[in-house]
Amino acid sequence: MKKKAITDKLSDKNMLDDLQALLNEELAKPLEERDLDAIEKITNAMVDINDEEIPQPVPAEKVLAEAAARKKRHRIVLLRKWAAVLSACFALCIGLNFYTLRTYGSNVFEAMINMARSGFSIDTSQLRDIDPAAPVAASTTATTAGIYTTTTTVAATQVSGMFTTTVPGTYATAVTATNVPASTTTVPVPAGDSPMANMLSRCDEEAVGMAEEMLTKAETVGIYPCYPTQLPTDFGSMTCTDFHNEKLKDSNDCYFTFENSASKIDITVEEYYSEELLPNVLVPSDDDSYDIFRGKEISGFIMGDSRKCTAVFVYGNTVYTLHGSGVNYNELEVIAEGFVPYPSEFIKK
Amino acid sequence: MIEPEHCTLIIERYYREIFSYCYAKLGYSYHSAEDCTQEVFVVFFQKHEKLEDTDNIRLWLYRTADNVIKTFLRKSPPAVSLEESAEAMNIADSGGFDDTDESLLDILGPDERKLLELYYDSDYGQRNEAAKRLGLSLPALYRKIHKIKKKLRAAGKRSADAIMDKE
Repeated sequence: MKKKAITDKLSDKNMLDDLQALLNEELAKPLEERDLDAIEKITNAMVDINDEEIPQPVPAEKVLAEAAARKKRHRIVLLRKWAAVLSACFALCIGLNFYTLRTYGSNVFEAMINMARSGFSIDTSQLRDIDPAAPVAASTTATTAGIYTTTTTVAATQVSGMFTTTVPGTYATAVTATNVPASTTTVPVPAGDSPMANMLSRCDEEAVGMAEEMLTKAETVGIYPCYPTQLPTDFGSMTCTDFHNEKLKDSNDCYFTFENSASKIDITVEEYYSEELLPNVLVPSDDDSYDIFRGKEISGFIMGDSRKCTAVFVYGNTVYTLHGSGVNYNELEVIAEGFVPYPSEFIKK
Repeated sequence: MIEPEHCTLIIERYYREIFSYCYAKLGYSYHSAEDCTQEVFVVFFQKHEKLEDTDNIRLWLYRTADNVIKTFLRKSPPAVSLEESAEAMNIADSGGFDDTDESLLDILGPDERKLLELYYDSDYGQRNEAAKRLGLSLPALYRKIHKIKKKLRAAGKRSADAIMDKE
């Protein structure tokens, strides 16, 4: 035995191996079930057998200082991380903004808002850039000059072939609305060389009544709108069942409703006081699809189905929206394509 | 929240224990164990505001030590297996006896001789049993054996020096 003890130089390692096995047994247990006292004894023995001395505890102040320094560094690192993230976001926004401006003509926030809503929006200022099928006559230009200063709302009466007089003034910001009794009879085509007769001479038989009602009623509130020159068969029986006018802060608006027993067409005319005020038109649609129609002198968008459809076009600073119920897509397209501008030479300055 | 004064007491109470644990788990690397132990207590000070006096601080420190050791080993993995490290082998091999001197065991007392005999005449399982019979844990028995071996080594060294001086 004596000889064995003297020559066994690795016996320390054997002891360490045994202790390591014991430690592994404890560590194999879940943390909560470990015998920490046993672990302490085993590990202390390991230190002892290796002839090491356990160091003195580090002063609390030193540990505290290190912890405080780390917290500070952590805050700086966090700040840098946030700065990097914010910079990346900013760059992304700039990039997105650039993209949406080029693609959709609106900044990223407007584009997001538009996308979040159902349907889609149409930048009406872009509508003006669509070329019509036929060149615009030189005499028909945007109905802008002198018509924005009207504030007096004149109750319209049914006047055939005549212009009513509007009183120039300044804008009123408050909304004023005028309801006009709807005509129930078909207006005869005026004769002679009057402006009205001249304008109605461009209309087919079906469209004369609607055109005259629109022109007459709109003029009473200082609007010189585009008017229809063609209607599908059987639409000539449509009569104006509602008309009213609203003068808003940015625009002077007219609302017409024409209907017969089978169909109804709502026409909205929004005359904006300047090009910059032209809004986007939000079109709620289940399928975001639309077509471009090219009329005689105006062009625009048309969308819808066999039961309901909507056409939108812009002339000058005026946005026209035609909404048909019981009017199919092709019928509304015929109506929209037939709109022509109010001749500029007849506009009362 | 644990008060700062209490934190100081916790460091003094558990520092050695956590050091030993790190030392055992890091293949007997003294400096690595020292670094990891300090790290454990720095983490403790960083988070002491979130800990309660009622929490099992000791268990929390062991868990933190495990995490710190894992991170340490991931950042600086040992070049060779911990169990086969030269450091461990050298420590175990240090201080060999001079096997020409057969009178060394005479310096041991009867209890020490008995313990040494018990250690060398039994295997792991028997040692465990023997330790229990003696009212000791196996680690405690090994510590005693280690002390006896150290005593023998020192005596052997003295004996060898004396022979050298004579020559």
